[in-house]
Amino acid sequence: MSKSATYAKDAKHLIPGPREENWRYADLSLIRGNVLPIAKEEPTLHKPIPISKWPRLVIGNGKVVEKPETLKGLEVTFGAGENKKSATAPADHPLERINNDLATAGVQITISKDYNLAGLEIIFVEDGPKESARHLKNMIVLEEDAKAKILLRTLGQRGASWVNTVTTVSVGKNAGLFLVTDFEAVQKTLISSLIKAQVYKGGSLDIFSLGIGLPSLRNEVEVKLKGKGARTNLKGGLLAAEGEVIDFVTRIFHTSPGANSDQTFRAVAGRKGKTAYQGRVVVEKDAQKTEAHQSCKNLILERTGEANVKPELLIFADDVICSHGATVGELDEASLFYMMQRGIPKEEAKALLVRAFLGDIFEGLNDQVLMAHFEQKIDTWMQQNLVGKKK
Amino acid sequence: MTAILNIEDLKVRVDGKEILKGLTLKINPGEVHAIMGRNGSGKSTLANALAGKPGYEVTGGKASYKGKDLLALKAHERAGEGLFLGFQYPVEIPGVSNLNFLRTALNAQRKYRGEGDMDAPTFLKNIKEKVALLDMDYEMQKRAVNVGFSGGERKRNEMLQMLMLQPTLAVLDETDSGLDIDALKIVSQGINAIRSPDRGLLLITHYQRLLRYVEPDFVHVLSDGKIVKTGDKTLALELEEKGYADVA
Repeated sequence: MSKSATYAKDAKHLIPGPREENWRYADLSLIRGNVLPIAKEEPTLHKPIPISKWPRLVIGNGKVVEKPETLKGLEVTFGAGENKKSATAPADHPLERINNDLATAGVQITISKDYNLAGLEIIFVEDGPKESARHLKNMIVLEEDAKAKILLRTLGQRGASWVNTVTTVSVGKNAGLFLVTDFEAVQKTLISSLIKAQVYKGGSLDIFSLGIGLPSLRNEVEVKLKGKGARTNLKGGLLAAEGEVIDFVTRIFHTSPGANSDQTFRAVAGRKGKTAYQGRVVVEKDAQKTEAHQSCKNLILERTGEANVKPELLIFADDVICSHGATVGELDEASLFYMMQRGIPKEEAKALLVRAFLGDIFEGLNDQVLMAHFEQKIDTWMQQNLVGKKK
Repeated sequence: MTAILNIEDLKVRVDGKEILKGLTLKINPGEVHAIMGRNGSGKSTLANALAGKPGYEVTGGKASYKGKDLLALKAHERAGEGLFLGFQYPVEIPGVSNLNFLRTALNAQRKYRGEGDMDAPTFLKNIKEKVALLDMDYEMQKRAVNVGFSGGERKRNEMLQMLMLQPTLAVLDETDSGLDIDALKIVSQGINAIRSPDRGLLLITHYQRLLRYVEPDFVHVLSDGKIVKTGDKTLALELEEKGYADVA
């Protein structure tokens, strides 16, 4: 049976519905009951503009478009990693299962022991005919004591299409990965991204994500902390304008003692925009001396905006420090008036307050180029959704 | 000579209740006016209505500012025209530094007036001068607006903003409240520094003590939404001695 036939046959059953708790906020309307054919491998129409000055890997419409001549300390292979596909498809995650069955492209990177990769930009660009799907399967492995900073970009530039990415990450003993995920999409495009990471003793994983200016984003991160001193720090921003759905899900598993996790998310729901953050932290029985913190603050710009937030802490160990905080609010009228009284027009004052609200997620990014890129995106979003719009 | 501010028979409603009930006041260039009155007499309502705070509904009367209809302007336009309100309770703005806030405000006002942005070195030189005049710590300007500031520090910060923005009319709503003697002197220095023949000042206060350092040309007594008595600086002394009941 061909791959697409499998998907076609199971599609209606596989795509989760809004009644399933884990998927209740996601907008999967594009693929529900609508089987999108796998996009052909063909040359891209656009050449993506790089953000960084780092070496680049560009995969366009499933084909390798650009790769560095040599990358010391790095082993890179392309394709969907046929030999690494799991024979038993994960049953509990429908989009992962579809990805596992149908992925045609991706990149597998191994960063060798002690190597320090100062930066790598990976770009997946999908353009060309509308109404198709691309499943990408990636793997990032950091061996012991390796360090890396990777910018992973997904550009969905086909209309009415689906880009479904699964990236498995392994951070070895005392290794450190800073992963920045960036998404762009044209109208009616669905991007779903799942990162499944394991962090071993003394290793650290930082992930920064910004979901902004996208019709529908499902952004999932799952981290298993598997050794003493393992740590992860997840930061992200969710901004949804009219008709947009930005759905973030995180799952952190503390499976061994003495590991730390920290999560900081900020969501902004504009007029008729919808954001959702579901953050689960599981501290297993043996994971004593765990420290886990989670903060998700939500800002609703207009009453028609919708911000959903669901913190879930499942703690089975007794000697732990865990905290979580979730707030939902509106822009402070007193602050707005104070700013206007000093001469700042209302919409500019709002933009300044929104930027201030998002400030926490940028702490620790420590990269001027990336900061400028994300700030630019936020400014553009606010220009389109705040400035010049009458309340 | 055009008055800076000319208020005629102003009526203002807040939360459905009429607070100002026909207030008339004229401020000419170079003049310093003080408004005194009991709690609830409408002093802060006057300040907020002049600044265009939402929820302050003008139900009657007029207010012109340098010949323009003040009440037709939006809050930020009033500021751009040179109207400054010193807040009784200055607001905290987490995540926005004082420097960023002041520079954004200053340049927004300049833009409103059709002027270009003030360049960074000039801005920094200016702010450092004013910070020194008000005996403040420059490092605090790098922190978020009023966050973690004491009451006195907030009031000094208001004065710093006023000195940086160089308004034509400053309405100072109980800027002296909550200040110790030393801070009061410093804040007064700030107010006196802005005093000039082409500017107007409206001081709203409960106490005569500020007026010891900033001498007003006129003192008005506000009672039940109207000015019931006007005099020179000796009126303030008289009020302090006898109380509102006997004077107004």
